[in-house]
Amino acid sequence: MVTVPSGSQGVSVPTRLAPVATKPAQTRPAEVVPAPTEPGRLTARLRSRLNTPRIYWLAAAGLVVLALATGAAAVADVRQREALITDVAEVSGPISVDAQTLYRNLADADATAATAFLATDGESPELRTRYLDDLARATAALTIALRDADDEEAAWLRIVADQLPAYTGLVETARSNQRLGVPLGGAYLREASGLMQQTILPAAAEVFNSTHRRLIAEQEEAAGFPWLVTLLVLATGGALIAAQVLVARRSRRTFNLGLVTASAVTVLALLWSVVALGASAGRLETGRRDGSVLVSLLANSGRAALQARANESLTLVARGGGATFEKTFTSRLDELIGADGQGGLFAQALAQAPSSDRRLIADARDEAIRWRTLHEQVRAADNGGDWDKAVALATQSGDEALPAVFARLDGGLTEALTVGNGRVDEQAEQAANALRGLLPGLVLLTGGLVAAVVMGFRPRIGEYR
Amino acid sequence: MTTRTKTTKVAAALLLVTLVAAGCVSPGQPRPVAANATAAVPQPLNVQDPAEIPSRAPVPDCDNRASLRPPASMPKAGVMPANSTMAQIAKRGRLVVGIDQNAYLFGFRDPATGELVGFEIDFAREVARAIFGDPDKVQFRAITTADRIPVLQNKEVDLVIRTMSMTCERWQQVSFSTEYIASRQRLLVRKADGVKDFPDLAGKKVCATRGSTSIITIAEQPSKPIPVSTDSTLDCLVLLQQGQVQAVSTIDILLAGLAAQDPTTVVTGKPVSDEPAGIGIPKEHADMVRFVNGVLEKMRSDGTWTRIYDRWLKARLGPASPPVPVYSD
Repeated sequence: MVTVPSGSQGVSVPTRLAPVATKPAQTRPAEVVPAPTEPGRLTARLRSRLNTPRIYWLAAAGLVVLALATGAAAVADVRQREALITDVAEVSGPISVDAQTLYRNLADADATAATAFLATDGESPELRTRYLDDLARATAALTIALRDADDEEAAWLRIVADQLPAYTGLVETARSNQRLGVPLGGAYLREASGLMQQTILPAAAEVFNSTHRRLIAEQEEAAGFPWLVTLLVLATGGALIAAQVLVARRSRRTFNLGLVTASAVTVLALLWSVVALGASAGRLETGRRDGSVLVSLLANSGRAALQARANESLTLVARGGGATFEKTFTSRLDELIGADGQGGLFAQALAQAPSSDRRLIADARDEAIRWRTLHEQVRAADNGGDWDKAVALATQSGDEALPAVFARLDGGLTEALTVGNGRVDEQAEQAANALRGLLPGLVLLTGGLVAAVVMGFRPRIGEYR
Repeated sequence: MTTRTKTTKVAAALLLVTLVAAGCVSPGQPRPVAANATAAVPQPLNVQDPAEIPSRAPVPDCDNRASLRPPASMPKAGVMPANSTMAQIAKRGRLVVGIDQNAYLFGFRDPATGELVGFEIDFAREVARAIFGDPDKVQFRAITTADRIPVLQNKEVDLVIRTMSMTCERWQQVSFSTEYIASRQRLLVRKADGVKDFPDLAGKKVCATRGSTSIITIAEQPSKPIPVSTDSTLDCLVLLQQGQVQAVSTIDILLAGLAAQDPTTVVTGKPVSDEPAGIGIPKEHADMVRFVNGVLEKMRSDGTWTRIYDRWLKARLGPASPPVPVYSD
C-alpha cells in the first residue's frame, strides 16, 4: 500500500525545500573533525539522510503505527469491557444471587424450624412446608453456586455442604423428641440452631460476600476510565496535528485532504467512544450503586431479621433459659434498625436506595420497629412467668400480631431485594447495549484512519521520485 | 573463546537451577480426595472440653439441713396471720414460684395439655393450697440455675423450688425449708457400655453443667475422668446420645429425669456426694420458712409426699420415704 523508497541513492533533493534539508549537511564537517565516536557518526549519517521524502515517510509510518496501536488498544479495551459486562450478566451476577438464595433460605429454615417448635397443638403444616422448601432452595443454590465458585468460595461452600445434613438431622431428632413430649427436643433444636448460626450461616455469608465483591469489582472495572486508550488517542491526535503542520510548512499547502480526513475519523472515533463508554459506565455505576451495593445491604438486613426471629423463638423454646438468645435477638435487631429504630442496616439501605425503592424499604423498617414493641410484650409475659401468654403472643394469627408483622417485614425486604437484583441485570444489559456496534466501528475507523494517512502522504512522497 | 564457553556454562547452570527451583516450588496442589472426607460432629452451644474447673469455695461450717421449726399451730387456709409474708401473698392473690420448665419429671410441660407438671410443681401447688385453699393460685416463673439466688434476694418470687441444694454457702444468702428430697451425685451411662461406676471411666469424658459443684466432683475422682461442661444437663444427654461423652454425672434426681427421656440409658454408681434439696425462701421471710416447713410436715405425715413421689419418681428411683426434717431451734 505505501510506496517505500528503496534507498537514498535515487532521491533527488528539490531546491525549494533546501533550507531545512541542507542544515544537517552544514554541521556535518564540524562533527566529523573530532575523532568521531560510534553514536556520533550514526547521528551524523542519520541527519544527512533526513531529507523531506524520508521525513514524510517516517511521519506516515509513525502515524500508521500509532493509529494501529490506538485502534488495537481501543478494540482490546472494548472487548474486555464487553467480556466483563457479559460476566456480570451471566456469571458473577447470577452466582451472587445464588449465594443470596443460599444465605437467605438457610437463615429462613432456622427461623422457621424454631418457630414451628413453639406450636403447642401440633406442628403447623405451613411452617413444615416452608422449612422443607427453604432447604430445597438452599441445596439447589448450593450445587449451582459450586459450579462458578472460585477456590476460596468452594471451600466455604463445602463447609455448608458438610454441615447441612448434620443440621437437618438434629432438627428431625428435635422434632421426634418434641412429639414424645420430652424436653430433650428443645436441647436438640438449640444444638441445631447453634450449628446453623455459628458455623453454616457464617460460611454462607463468606460465600455471599466474596461473590458480591467479585460482582462489584467487575462492575467497577467495566466502568473504569480507559487511561491507556485516552493517552494513545491524544497522542494520535497530536501526531496528526504535527504532521499537518509539517506538511503545510514543507509543501506550502495549508490543507492535506488525507490528513484532514484522518483527523475527522479520529474525532468521530473519539466522540463515539466517549458517548458509548460513558453511557455504558453510567449504566454499570447505576447497577452497582442501586443494585449490587443496595442488594448487599438488603440481604444482610434479611439475614439479621431472620436470625433475630430464630432467637426470639429460641428464647421461648429454652423455657426460662433463654437469656443468651434474648441477647442475640437484641443485637440482631439493633444491627437491623439501630437502638433507636432509625439506624442500622435499614438506615444504610434507605440512604443507598434510589427514591423509587425507599417507600418499600421504609415500610419494612416500620414493621421492624413495630416488631420490637411486640417482642417486648412477649418478653414481659415470659419474664413474668406467663410462658403460655408469651407463646400465644409470639404465634397468634391476626394482622397486627407478631407473626404477621414479621411476615410483612420479611416480605418487604424480599421484594426490595428482587428489585435490586433485577436492577443489576437490567443495567448490565443496557451497558452492553451502549457498547453495541462500537467494536466493529472502531475496527473500521482505524482502517479508515490508516487509509487516510497513507492517502495524505502518498502523493507528497511521490513528488520526490 | 574461553569467555564464551564460560558464559554458556553459567547460562546453562542458571537455567538448570531455575528449572529445578520451579519444579520444587510448584509441585501442584493434589486434587482433594472425596473418600478422605470425615463426618461433621455438631456440638451443643458453649461446650467446654475439657471443662474449666471452678475452685471449690471455702465452705462455711454449718448444719446445712437445719431449718426453722414450724409454728405450733398452722393457720387455716384463707386466714393468714396479719402482717405476715403469707398474708401479703394472700392479698396479692397468687403465690409466685421460681421453677424449672425443662426438668423432666420435676417441672416440665405435659405434652398432652401444655400444663406445667412434675414433682416440684406439685410441691408448689401444696403450698398454694395451704395459703389459699386452692392449689391453682400459683404463678410459675421459669428461671435458670444461675437466677435462683438473685430472684430470691430481689424478692421477685416467694419461693424457689428448683432442685436447689442446701449448702452452707447458700444459707448465707437465702433461707431453706427442710429437705424435701434427698439427692446424691451419681452417673448416667448408656446401658450397652457396661459402665458401672467412676473407676470404669478413667480418662473418659464425663459431662455436667458449667460451674456446678458436680463438675468439681468429677474432676476430683481418683480415676481421673475428663470433665466436659455444658449450659444445661439436657445438653449433656445430647452429648451422651451423640457418643461425645461416656457419662453424665449430676444429682440422681436430675439423672432420673434424663434417663426417663432415653430408655437406653441407666442411672448407676455409688453416690459421690450428699446434696439435700430444699425450697429456697428469701432470707428476711422467717415466718414463711416456718410456714412452708409446716406444710412439708403435714405432707410427710398425711401421705401426700409419698403420693407425689410415687407418681413421678418411684418408677425411676425406687421406693423412698420422706427425708427426716432437721430443725435448728
